This record gives sequence, structure tokens and C-alpha cells, in this order.
Amino acid sequence: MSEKKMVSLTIDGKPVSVPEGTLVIEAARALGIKIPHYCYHRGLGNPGNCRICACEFEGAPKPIQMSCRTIAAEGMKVRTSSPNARRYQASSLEFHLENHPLDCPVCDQSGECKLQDYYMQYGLYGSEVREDKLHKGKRIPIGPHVMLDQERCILCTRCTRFTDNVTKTHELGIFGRGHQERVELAPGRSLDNAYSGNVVDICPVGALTDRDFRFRVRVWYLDETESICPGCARGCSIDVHTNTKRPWHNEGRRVARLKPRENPEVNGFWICDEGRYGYKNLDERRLGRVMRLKPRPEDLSWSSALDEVARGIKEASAAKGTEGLVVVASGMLSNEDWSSFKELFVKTLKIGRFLFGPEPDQIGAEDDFLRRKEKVPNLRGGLDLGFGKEIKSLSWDDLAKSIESGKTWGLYVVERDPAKVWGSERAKALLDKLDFMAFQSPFKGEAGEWARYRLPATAYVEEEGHFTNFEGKVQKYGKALEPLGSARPDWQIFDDLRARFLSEEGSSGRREKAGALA
Amino acid sequence: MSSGSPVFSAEEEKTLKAWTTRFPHPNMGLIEALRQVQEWRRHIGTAEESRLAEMFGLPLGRVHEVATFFPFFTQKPTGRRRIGVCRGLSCELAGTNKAVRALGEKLGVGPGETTPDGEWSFEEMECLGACEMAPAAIVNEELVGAATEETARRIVAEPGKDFRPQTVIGPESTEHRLLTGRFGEPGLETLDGYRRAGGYEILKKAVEMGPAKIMEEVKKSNLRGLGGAGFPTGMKWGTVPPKEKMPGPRYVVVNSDESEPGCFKDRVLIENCPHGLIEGLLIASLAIGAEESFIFIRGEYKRQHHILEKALAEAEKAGLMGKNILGKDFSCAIKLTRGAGAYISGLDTALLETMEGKKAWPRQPPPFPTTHGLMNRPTVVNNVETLMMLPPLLRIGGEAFAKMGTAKCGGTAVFSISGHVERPGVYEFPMGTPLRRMIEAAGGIKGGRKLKAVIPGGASTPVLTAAEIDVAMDFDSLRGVGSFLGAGGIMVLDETVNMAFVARNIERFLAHESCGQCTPCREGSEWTVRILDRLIEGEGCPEDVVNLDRTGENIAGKVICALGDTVGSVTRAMMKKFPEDFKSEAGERSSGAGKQPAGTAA
Repeated sequence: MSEKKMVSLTIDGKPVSVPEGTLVIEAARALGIKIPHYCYHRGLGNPGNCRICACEFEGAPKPIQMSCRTIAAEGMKVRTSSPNARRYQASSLEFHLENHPLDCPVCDQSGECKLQDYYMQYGLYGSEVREDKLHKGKRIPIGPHVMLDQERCILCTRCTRFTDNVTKTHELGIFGRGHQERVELAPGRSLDNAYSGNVVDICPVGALTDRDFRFRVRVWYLDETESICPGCARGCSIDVHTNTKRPWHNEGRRVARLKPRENPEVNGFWICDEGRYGYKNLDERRLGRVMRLKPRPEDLSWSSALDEVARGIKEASAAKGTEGLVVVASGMLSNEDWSSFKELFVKTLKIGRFLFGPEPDQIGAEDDFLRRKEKVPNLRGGLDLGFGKEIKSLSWDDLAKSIESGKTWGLYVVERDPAKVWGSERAKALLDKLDFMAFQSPFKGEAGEWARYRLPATAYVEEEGHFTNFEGKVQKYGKALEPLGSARPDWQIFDDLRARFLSEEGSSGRREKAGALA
Repeated sequence: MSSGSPVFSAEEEKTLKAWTTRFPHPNMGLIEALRQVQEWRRHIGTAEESRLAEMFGLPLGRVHEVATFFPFFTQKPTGRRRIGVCRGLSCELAGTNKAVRALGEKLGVGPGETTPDGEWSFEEMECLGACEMAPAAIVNEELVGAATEETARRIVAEPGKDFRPQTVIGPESTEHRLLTGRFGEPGLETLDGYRRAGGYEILKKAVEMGPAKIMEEVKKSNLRGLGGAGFPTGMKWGTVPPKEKMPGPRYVVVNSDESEPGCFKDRVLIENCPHGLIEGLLIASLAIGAEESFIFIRGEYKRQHHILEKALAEAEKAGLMGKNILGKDFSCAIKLTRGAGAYISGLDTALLETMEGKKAWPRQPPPFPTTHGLMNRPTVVNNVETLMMLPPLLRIGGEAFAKMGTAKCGGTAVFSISGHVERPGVYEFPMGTPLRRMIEAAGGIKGGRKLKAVIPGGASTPVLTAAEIDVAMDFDSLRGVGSFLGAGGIMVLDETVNMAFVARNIERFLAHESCGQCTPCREGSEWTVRILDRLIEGEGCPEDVVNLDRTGENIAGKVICALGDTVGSVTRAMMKKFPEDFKSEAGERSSGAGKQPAGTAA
């Protein structure tokens, strides 16, 4: 790496050294000094049109300069909150609010709106505007996910820069000019690109809101947990926003929304819509009860269920041989899960036949930006433990044939639904031939109904763990919610089951070990 | 579109496609292509935008942005003839409202409407650059003359007829008229006529001198940019990186986007002496090593565009343009390109954006155009008059030129004088001539009334009181009294005028022309107009004056470009100097009160 020359300056009296070419607003950020800004965004550039990041530059011929347009220079003395600087920050805010409808009580952005935040910080009490507000379009659905309110828009151009420069899909533009100007769709277009939801995140005001999230729950009731998107092999950093303080809101869903979390090495500032809106099933069709379904449904305790499962496997293996048991899994497993999975099935039970390849039910659209075709987060974690190298994956066709021929007598299915591949009828016919089937998953799934044992696993938001993305980057996701019902992490189920084969208690402290391993 | 029928005929396609190859970059032809479509279809629909987008390889939204930014383009069909009446300050003082009323009666439709037969549409327009014939009227981009009540009716009744009065060019003594001295000589606008007057002789001399010596003379001359900024021309040229340091093309662009209320001298210069501009442009191109140069002319100057087209064709035929000019090792092609009705296009970086087929949002230097200009190449943007000064400057020499003016401001300047004077017109004076003498030369105050105020450099320059007119008219002296020379658009206001009306007129212009890029200007200009509207309608309150002052101060200097600075300073200067005109209660205001601007009492 080439040595970058450093320049030293002082901001609000604090000295700081930054690489040559750094913007003053960034130099301030390095010191933890937040300068208000709308148009500037690290992922979208610095057009300098909102004029609110004004700072005072001591000794400059024109002392008030925009900190997002000024490059830090040696010896510069910047004041971000001198009376003069604050005055222009406040006056710029006043211009932004001049035609703003001030409809905060009914605006979904309330609580995370930069107009509100800066208003409170810069203390502009009492409007001097006696004129009627200009009227523009309201509640315009501009795509499947985004609602536009032109009156709330402050024309910072972040959204148009996103569609012009990031997705390069050019759906949005700023049309007209002067105070008649408005953000709008280009004629005949719809904001339906695979990343459209990001415009909601970058909109600093309530002009672009999420059609999925709006009016569900006020943002100040939400909790945030750092996580990793499980939607594909990219492993974008996200924040899971959960609503547990107002459980009767949001149709009872605990996860209110997912937001991208900045990660320059993986996803920058963005996530795709597929990932963003992939959370909705997290509270739907969930498994919460540990059950034996055949011959008739009955609730079991974890301990008796695992005893029965272990006994079932032991007995059938003794009678028909271990090679008749196939384990179906997928890249939905965390590194902790994979590790326990391997301990149980490979090392302890010596199972030789697995199905974990993503085809065809976990394959989807790919592009040259973020989306990967493998729609599971952690195939790589499995690969690093040999799944896909020395341990090969069967295909669904192989599996069907071996069930039909009677070669396979049992299936242990983890976080996957054979009915999705084979179709309901064929799946039922095939699975009915089996002597043994365990179905372990956070979700019911169609094939789960035909299993002998149904074991509820936690969803990724209910556990802590690690995913390894397709490039080999190991990333941690946090626990945002308590498990539903009796659900347990997959690794714990595997460990407890393994104990039954080793005749010792399920291990503890497994997670730490696996995390380190990963 | 889906119907399968092509949007344009084969012939039309050919014409439009030609614009994609005419300039160094295809996008540079976009605005001309849009103009063509507007002319054919009388509007630009989505189908047309889509086809153009394909043709130019641009996203549809980009084309739509341009089509909705420039007032020349409409989304709904206009009449076959578009008549516009100017509502710039000089025109409004002379009776825009009366003309609008007369036209409305004659056409049976109001401003912004089209006659049911689709023949006429009627608009109030911002400054048409013809303040001397106030109130000016335009039909399909060609100035047709003064829209007095009578001529307004005749313009409609006798379409195609030219009602323009002869423009006064002064002062009578040509002693100091370096540039305009020979204006009025028959045939000066033709190549032959220009040559008879010694034209293109200086170009020969310049080719002999070579770039370095030209540059030296220009630096010595203290020639300042006469488009408004007053930046020393030689110094600007000097910042163009030499070819050894930055190889590749460089351009000179003529800024003929004269659109500021009060300024019309560039129009008159082009009408009278197009070859003078071409010669000046060639000299500048030679000086900085440009082998391709451009004249960007405002869309409303259709007649002047034709004049230049003709002159360029003559020059090319005579070997004065193109390869090996005058048989020497100097080549320069000149191309014409037009705007589409936006004042902001006259600001250098916005002009370059317009030329590149984008909406005219000013750039924020650095880098400056002289290093990164048109298509990111080194570009000198010079005003019409600045370039036209080059032949006389080289004729008399830099030193003599400098001596004609003040210590830092060389030579002469051509002033546009309008408003309440007896003989509005174009007047050339040495830099530093007192304003009082200029007003006298223009016949003094109309009707023998008393002088109230003068806007010295065009609508965007802060007002002077009657007591301040002994100021010397040059860039530095005017700065000394808190105003600007601008582009020398002198607007004289007599005692009947109420300054709140003047402020509103100018602020309305600026709000209309604000490009919308930065917030203080976009929001502040419109707010200022609305406060002034209320004040003038007698619904003001004491806080209005405070807010106008505060708002103005918060805009000026905090915006991206000079237009925004102006929004902040124009009204403040008027309020400071004429506070009585901004009193909140209608009754307290002087005779100008009421909805009609002063001077237009119905």
C-alpha cells in the first residue's frame, strides 16, 4: 500500500491528522464530532446542495464553508459550532423547513428524521413562515416497496444518486426546476430494482418510506441487534429491528424490519430487497412444540423426544445398516451448528450420505453487485468442515431413487423442506415409505407434517452465531429475540442427541469452541 | 412505443441523429435535438423522450430532466405560434401588464394558455434581452418589437411582421467608441462590409504575433471579463495548462447567454457585427491553442443565431475558419450551440453543463473550467463583448487600451441603458465614466421627472440612490459603493417607482430562474417573493422586513453560485436605501402602491 501523506488540522480546538484528500466533515467524524448534513453520504458523494454542514474556517477569506466540500489542509482551524457556524446551520435548516409540511405526528419517519433531530439540536423555536406551504404530490407508490411524499422531500438528491450511480437503473430523477422541482419516477418507470429499499434508508426525511413498514410501529419502540443477513451467501451486515415493547403492533410480528449495517468489506451501505423483506416468515408457520406425529400427534419433552430419536436411529441402523439413513441439511446452519452436526453425524454416527447442496430449492437470482445465487448464508462454513470437499452431497434425484428402491430407510431433515423440491404429492408418497424421519427446523414446512418427530429449532434472530460468507469471511450475528416455544439452537439439539450415543450429557460451552474454530 | 409505429419519420430520424455526431460528444447535441422535436411536435412527449434517450444512449430520466428543466420545452402542446411578453424590470415598468391585457383581449386567452384553434399560445416570459424596446415581445423565439397596446394587437393580426424599433447606439461622439465606432455603417454585418472596415486584419496580425505575444498584450491591456464577473481576461487565459503539461483538446466557449434583466448589449453587438465576434474568438482560440471553439447563444436569440450562422458560413468560405486559417499554421473550427430558456445557463459552469446536454446545475469549483471545463477539458469561457474587444485591443495595443480606462480596468465597455430615460439603448464609454454622464447621454430622465434610483449593472446588482450616481462605472469603483458593474445593464428608475415593486420584480425573476440545486436559493428566493407579494398587497406585518433582511443575509454567500448570492442581496440593498417603500401598511407607501407596478397606471 502506498504511503498516504497526512495533514494535521484542528477542529473545535482538537488536533487531528488525516490522510491527504480527506473531507473536513470526515476529519471531524474521526474526532467524534458530528456535523449536520443531508446531501452528503459516504456511499453517495458530496454534491454540497443542502448547505447545512457549514463550518467556520478561521482566517479563510470566506470563513463560512461547507465542510462536505472542503478538503482538510495542513494547519486548518475549523469551528463546527461557533456562533457563526451554528447560525448558518440553523438558517439552512430553516430553509429546509420552509415548505416542509411539518406533519410529524402522521409521518412514519418520526423519531429517525434528520429534520426533527437537527431542529431539536439547533433550537429553532417558532416559525417565521406566514405563507402557505407549496403543495406537491403525496402518497405516491413509486414501486413495490417505496412510498413517495414530494412535500416532505428536501431535494438532497441522495435517492437519485443511488439509482444513477449505485444501481445504475435510473428510475428516479429531479424534474422541473427551482421551487417547482420534485423527485419523481422517470415516465413509465417503477422503482422496482432489486435494491429499491435502500432509498428509504438513505432518505434523511420522511419523503421515501417503506410500504412494508410504514404505520406498523413507531421507531422509538424498536430495539436493534447487529446481525448478518441469512438471505444469500454474501452475508451482508444488517441490523434486526425488533418490536417487543408494543407486541400488539405490527400484526404481532416481533421483527419489524431489517436495515443494512455499514460494512465496507462486504456490503458497503446496502442490502438487497430480497434480504430486506425476507424476515416476514420469522414469526409465521413456526415450530414451537417438540412432537411425535406418528402414529398420532403427541407432545414430548426434549429429553424424551431425543431419547426416542436416538433409539429409533440405533434400532433401525442395527437392523438395516447405517447407510440407509440420509441426513438433509443446508447452508442455513451456523458454524456452531455445522461443527456439532459433523460431530454427531460424521464422527459419532459415521453417516456417509448427506444432502446439503443448494440445488435446486436454495438457488435464486444473482447479480454483479450483492446478490449471490446460493440463497443460504453459510455453505462456506460447511465447506470449511469438509461438506462439499471430502463429504459429497447427494442430489434430490439420488435421494428419491434410493427411497424408491428401498435403499434408504430413514431421513433426518434439518432446516429444509423436501416438498418444495418434489412437490407435495410425490414428497408424501416418498416419505411415507420411510421407517424413520426426523424434521428439525424453525418452520413447519409441508414435509414436516409427515415426519415421525418434529423438533423446533431457533431462527437466526433467536440465537447468536457465526456465518462464513462465500469469500470466507466469518461474521457474527447476535441474538435479537428469545426463542419461540421450546425452540433450541440446532447445535444444541445435535449435541444433546450425540450425548445419547456417547452415553454422556450434552456438552456445554460448545458455542465458544465453535466460534473460535470458525 | 408498443403500437409499433415509429415516433419519428425516417427523415426526422436522420435530422435528429445528425446532432449526435456534430459535437465532440454525442450528448452535446441533446438540447438541439430536443429543440428540434419541440419545433416539430410543439411539445415533447414521453414517446419522443424515449426515442431520443435511445438515440443518445442516455437514461430516459436524464432526458426528462432536461426536458422539464428548460422552459423552452413543454410537456403539453403549445400553439403553432408562441408569443411571449417580457416581464423583466424595464419591461414591467414600461407596461407588461397592459400588453398582456391587450393580447389577452385580442387572443381570447390568458397567459399560459393556448387558443382553441391551436394557433397561438401566450406566455409571460423572463427577460428577453431587449429592454430598450420595453415591453418586448417575442414570437417563436424571434423578437418582434415593443408590445405597446397597439403593436400587441398588430403582432397578432400581422404575423411575421417585424415591429422592432431601431436601437439607439451611442453616445453620438464616436471618439471613445472603440468597439461600436463603426456600427451603423451599411453592410457591417456582412463579411465584405466588415473587411471594408478593416476586419480580419487584426487576425492576420495576431497569427504573426503568436500566442505568447497576444497573451502579453491582453495582460497589459487590463481587459476584464465583460459578462459580469470582471475577472482579468489575460489572467484567466493564463490558467489554461499548456499543451506540454496537459495534451489534448482545449476549447474557447463564447458565452452569449445574455439573459439578465437590463442587459442587451451582446444582442446588439452580434446583430451589428457578427464577424467582430468571430475574429475575437479566433484570436482567443489562437492564444490558448484551441482548435475547436463554440458559441453558446441563448435560445431566445433566434435571429442573432441566424446572423451568426450566416457569418460563420461566410468566414468558412473565405478560409477564415477551419483548417490552416489564412494559409497559416492555425486551425480552428467554430460551432454554434443554443440554450433553451434558462438564465442560469449564463453562469460559466452551468453553461458547460447545458452544452453537455444536462440541466443547468452549476458546478462547484474547484476545479475551474480553465483546467476542467467542457467535457472535462481545459476551457475558457468568455463573454461576447470581451472577445469582441480583442481586435480593437490588438489594433491600438495593450498599453493604449489600458490607458483608456482606469488603473485596473482597461479600455471601454458597452452599457445597456434602459428604464426611465429618454433614449434607451446601447452606449459605449471608457471604463470609469461617471454614471451621471451616461444617464445624460441617454437623454436624461424621461418626461423630466426626478431620478429615484439606478440599478447599475443588471438586475442582480445592488441598487444605487440618486445621490450615488457620480460613481465611476468600472468594476472596482462600483464595488467601493457596495454594488457591481455586472454586465453593465443600467436600469434607471424615476420618482414614481416604489422599490418594493422593483424588488419583487427582480426576486420573482430570480426565483423563476433558480435552478433548484441548493436549498437556500431554491427555498429562499420563493419565500422572498411571497413575503414581498404580501407586503405589496397590503397584508404585510412588521416582521416581514426583519425576515426579508435575515433571509437575504442567510442566502448570500452560503449558496453554490452567484445567482443565489443575488437573491440574498438585491432586496436587502433596496430595503436599506429605501426603507419607506417597504413599510408594512399599504397606506404608508408612496404612489406606487397597489397591484400595478409604478409607471403602468391603467
